[in-house]
Amino acid sequence: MKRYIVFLKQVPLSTKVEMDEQTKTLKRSSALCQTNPDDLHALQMAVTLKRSTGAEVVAVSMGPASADAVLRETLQRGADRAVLLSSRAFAGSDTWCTSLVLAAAVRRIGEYDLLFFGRMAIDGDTAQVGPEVAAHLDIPQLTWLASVDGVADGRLRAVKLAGRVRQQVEVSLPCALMVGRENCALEAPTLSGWRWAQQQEVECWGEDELGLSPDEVGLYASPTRVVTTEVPQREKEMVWLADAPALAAVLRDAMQFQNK
Amino acid sequence: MTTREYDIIIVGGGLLGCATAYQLAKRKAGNILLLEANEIASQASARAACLLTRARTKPALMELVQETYDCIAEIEQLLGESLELQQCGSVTIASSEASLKEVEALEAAAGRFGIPNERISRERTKELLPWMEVSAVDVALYMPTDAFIDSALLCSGYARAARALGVELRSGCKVKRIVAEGDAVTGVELADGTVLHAPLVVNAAGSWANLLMRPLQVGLPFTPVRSHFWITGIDKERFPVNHPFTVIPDARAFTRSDVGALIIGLRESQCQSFDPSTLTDKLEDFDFNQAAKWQVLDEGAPLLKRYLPDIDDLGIAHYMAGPSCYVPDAKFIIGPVKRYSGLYTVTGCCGGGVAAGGGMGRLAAELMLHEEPFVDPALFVPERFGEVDPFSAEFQKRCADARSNKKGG
Ligand SMILES: Cc1cc2nc3c(=O)[nH]c(=O)nc-3n(C[C@H](O)[C@H](O)[C@H](O)COP(=O)(O)OP(=O)(O)OC[C@H]3O[C@@H](n4cnc5c(N)ncnc54)[C@H](O)[C@@H]3O)c2cc1C
Repeated sequence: MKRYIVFLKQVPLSTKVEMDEQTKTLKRSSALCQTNPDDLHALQMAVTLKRSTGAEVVAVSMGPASADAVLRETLQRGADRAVLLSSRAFAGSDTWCTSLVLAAAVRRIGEYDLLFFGRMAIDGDTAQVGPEVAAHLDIPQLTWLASVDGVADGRLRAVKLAGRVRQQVEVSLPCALMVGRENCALEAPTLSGWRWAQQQEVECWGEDELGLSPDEVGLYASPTRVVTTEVPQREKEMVWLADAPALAAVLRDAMQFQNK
Repeated sequence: MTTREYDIIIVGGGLLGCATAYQLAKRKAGNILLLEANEIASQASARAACLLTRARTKPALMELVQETYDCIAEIEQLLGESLELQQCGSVTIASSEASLKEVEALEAAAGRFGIPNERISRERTKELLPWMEVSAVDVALYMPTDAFIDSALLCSGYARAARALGVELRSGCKVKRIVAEGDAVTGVELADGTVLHAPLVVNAAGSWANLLMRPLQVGLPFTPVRSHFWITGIDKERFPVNHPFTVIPDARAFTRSDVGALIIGLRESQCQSFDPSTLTDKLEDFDFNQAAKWQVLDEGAPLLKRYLPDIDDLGIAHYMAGPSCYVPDAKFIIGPVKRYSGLYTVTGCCGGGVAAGGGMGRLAAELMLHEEPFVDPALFVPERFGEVDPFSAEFQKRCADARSNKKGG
């Protein structure tokens, strides 16, 4: 059976996140949440590909009970099945522990062809979880994706960016894809999709179902230590240009610099 | 702390505060300061569906809306730029006895006020509204001079015109309280403790207006009630750019063109009010109940289906929710607050601040400057319900019902 697994995270609606001074973790107390934008594009790519391949799309989210909303949205947008990974033991997990949990979920789901991740979550900005899951599962991963051309004969054909160079690549399945907003446009969800999603069951798995012990995951098992955080201060030098010739001179210098 | 004297301080840089500032400045009312906690035109005034519906069954309302149209023309002249009014026309649809009566009343009102209007055939309706299933339409009333306008652009137009006429605008400047000595207001205190003096203070703080009134033990008779609309995906053939907006009372709905998509506004049978004390400083942080996006559409879809048969399978690209300040009698709150001399308010927009804001600002300015008011101010007196407690659930429900029972656009 062909199967695509998509991972999605619930993030605060506002990108203004607060830091818990004591634990140095992000405070997620904000009541207003959304599905991480890149993750929706990952889901869209899976759902679009499923139309030509007939694969089953399984959506997975790790988070508190409120992440149920994220999973209902995935069902509305075309996922066939939804799994919530939720347990007190998972709370405070860094990207390493999160990827351990997600990899365990993949193993429990069973056979699969493609894993889809959003490139980056807007609350953590690490872009680490997808690549780490691929590493745990020992499968190839495609970062810096430009486009997916198709899947055939156990291989995925895609274009990937390497600086200014576009590389056409073929990757053997199963593999993991990191999807960004520019990779595909979202289709608008419908009311009938919402109605259907409300009637579906969202499975919920904790550490027992995943065969993990509580001390492998969560805040205390996480190797990452945030020592301090600060907002980078950008200093800009400003010069008032008196007239058009002065502007022309600046542009000429900038172009010469570019062409070097 | 430095203090400065002003003749008038306006609190709130939404449509109503900015329109009042413009109308006062136009009348050379002196040294005017407008204070806005966030950015000008960033709160309710950036969330509207932007309909400028001219015909209303209450004549005073038509005067207020006409004044908004006049302001737009004046401000375009003053600033030398277009505010991009879109004169798309409107079509009001009747499919029942009850709504036919409403359409007839509107038709008569429009006729008396000189607003062009004509009943159009189903064929013509289909031409104007290619998306509509016209078999459900009994009567369609077309008003070709109705328009819509980007509400934030209009609001910033009032603000920039006011500034051009000498008003000082300060954004990012939250008023902590309105200062009163005895029964006269003397100015405002800012969040940083600065006190600014003025003998006249206008509370145009929209949904937050009662938070400023509370320490003065004044309750304005309104509460924030959720208004919302949905925007479909783009389909320029079905939803041509700038086709007429519609009002469909039998579906509790309105629609408007939005650059090739369709805006659909729906009113639920029981509208949702909010306790003003729960408001956050910025609407982007306030929870209007995200689940309502689909729940309310689900509730409204069966009625709308007669006109838009594929509503269930239409892609919904965006959802917008925001507060409108509803008053139990669905009329605005404009004028002096009797308990304190020098304290005025202009609020209680009842979902009509875009359409009527120019007129509301004019009436407020005329009352402050003791000029002959151009409409009867008795309709809008803040104390007309006696003492009210806008923080009580019971009063909030009365206000929500005013929206639930709303008829027109
Ligand atoms: C979804 C929706 C659709 C709508 N559609 C239409 C329509 O089609 N046609 C129409 O005519 N109307 C419509 N409206 C209504 C219209 O948006 C409002 O009538 C209008 O924006 C009200 O303007 P306002 O100035 O009262 O409020 P706001 O724009 O909210 O302005 C109040 C301002 O006061 C500021 N403030 C609050 N407290 C303080 C303080 N202590 N110190 C300093 N500043 C403070 C706030 O930051 C805010 O900017 C709609 C509204 C919504 C929500």
